Amino acid sequence: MFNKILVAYDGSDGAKLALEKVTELAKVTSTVLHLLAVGRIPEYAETVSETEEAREQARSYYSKIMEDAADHLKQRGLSAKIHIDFGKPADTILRIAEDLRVDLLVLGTHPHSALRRRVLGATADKVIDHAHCSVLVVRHAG
Amino acid sequence: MEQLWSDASLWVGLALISSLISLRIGISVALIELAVGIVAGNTIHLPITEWVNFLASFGAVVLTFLAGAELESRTLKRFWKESLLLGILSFLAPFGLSWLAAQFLLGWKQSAAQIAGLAMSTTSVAVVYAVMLESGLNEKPVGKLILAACFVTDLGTVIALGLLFASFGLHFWIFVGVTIIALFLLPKFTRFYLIRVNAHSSEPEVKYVYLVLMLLAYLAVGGGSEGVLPAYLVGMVLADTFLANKELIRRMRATTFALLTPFYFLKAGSLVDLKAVLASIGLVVLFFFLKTLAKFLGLYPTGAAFGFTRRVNLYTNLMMCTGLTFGTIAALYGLTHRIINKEQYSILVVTVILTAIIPTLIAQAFFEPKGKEREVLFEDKGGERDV
Repeated sequence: MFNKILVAYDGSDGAKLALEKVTELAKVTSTVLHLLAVGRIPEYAETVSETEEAREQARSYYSKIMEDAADHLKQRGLSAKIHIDFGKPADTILRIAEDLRVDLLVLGTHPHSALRRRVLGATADKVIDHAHCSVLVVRHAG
Repeated sequence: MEQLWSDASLWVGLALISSLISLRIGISVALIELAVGIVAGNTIHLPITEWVNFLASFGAVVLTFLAGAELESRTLKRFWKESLLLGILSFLAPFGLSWLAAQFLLGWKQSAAQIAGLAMSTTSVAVVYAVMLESGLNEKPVGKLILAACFVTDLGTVIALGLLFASFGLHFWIFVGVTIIALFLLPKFTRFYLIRVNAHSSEPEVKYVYLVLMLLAYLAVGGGSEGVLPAYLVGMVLADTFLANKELIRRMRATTFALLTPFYFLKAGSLVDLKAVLASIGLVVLFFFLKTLAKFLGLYPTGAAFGFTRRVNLYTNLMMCTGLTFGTIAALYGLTHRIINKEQYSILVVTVILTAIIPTLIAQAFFEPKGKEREVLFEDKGGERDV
């Protein structure tokens, strides 16, 4: 059904639930799994080193989270290729999905306030609108 | 004394608010500090005292040093022909066009028009780098070339700012002589010094850099020039040493971003008169389009002559339209030396802020090289060739 799946993962409750759902799906199909964490870097930075430092901090933060996710999959007899990239979450998820040519993109989401959604926009909305492939959004109730 | 602490609390409080906003929305604290400064300056009227002026000026000097120290000399050597030509044109075209328009179209005095030219001539290496990091272009030939060209442009701006308004008297030539000797000796001596002091907890490296920058700024200002000129040059000659010592850069950035640059950006923002901007919004639009047009006139044909693909050429042009730090430095220099008035300053700073944002948004949305385009820089008659 789906040969290559990319899961956008940030360790949040929504992302954990999404990973859980993908695990169930991957158990019954022979699917290649990719996990992607996106670190934010400051836009319109003052110095290159400011961006570099933000990148190193994000890499170190997400390395641990991705390790835990990989362990979680391993316990269920699955494995995944890990990616940590940087930029605006939606744009980066879309770019990596295209680069990897995945046929399903999975992400978790949780409810935002109407104001936050209007002002900042939701990552899930943008991914759904622009993805080249099918998108599964797993909604976390909390 | 009580007043001093109350003023200090106000400034540092605004700096903290800026950091928290930056943390929340993911936009650089520099831009937020400028915006917070504009709001504060137009509502509560921030007190600008002597010590604020010192911290802000030194913030600009250290920020300029850090910008110079980020030069990748290997990239500049690899693409020296393209980056030099693109960088020089990217400086000269907007500088000349904005100067001429300000003087002959708007009737600004020659020196004020030159400040307008300088503020519009810049590019922002840091803004460009952050944008390209998101697409992975910073590691590709096209990204490295654009960054190298941006360094050359900023060098042009800094040299012009340091020389255009200099008095060329005895003190100026003393400054030039000492700076040349310092630039010659500093790389070797700094490497020796860093090994000797060996990252001691009393921060002798940071103090050493600060001392060098302060001494050269003293000579520069005494010679009628500007402290950011030697700071950028010293940064450039020490770039390789500092690239190999990222922990030192991190420590310098910590002190600079915590205590110096907030004063610089908040002050630069607080001096913007919003009423003047609203009354002259047409001039903001005019300068924005002049800068963009001039960059395209200078860069697009040159990129085409080098064989850049159309998309890479347009992306390069838009990236080099950005500006932030050096644009505000030029405008603030003009205001503090009474070369431009507050209305002209406000117009220039708001235009500079817009140039940091709008071109990058357009470039990312419509012209970002994708897939194979990211690997290929030049295109010749027989097809494409990698670099």
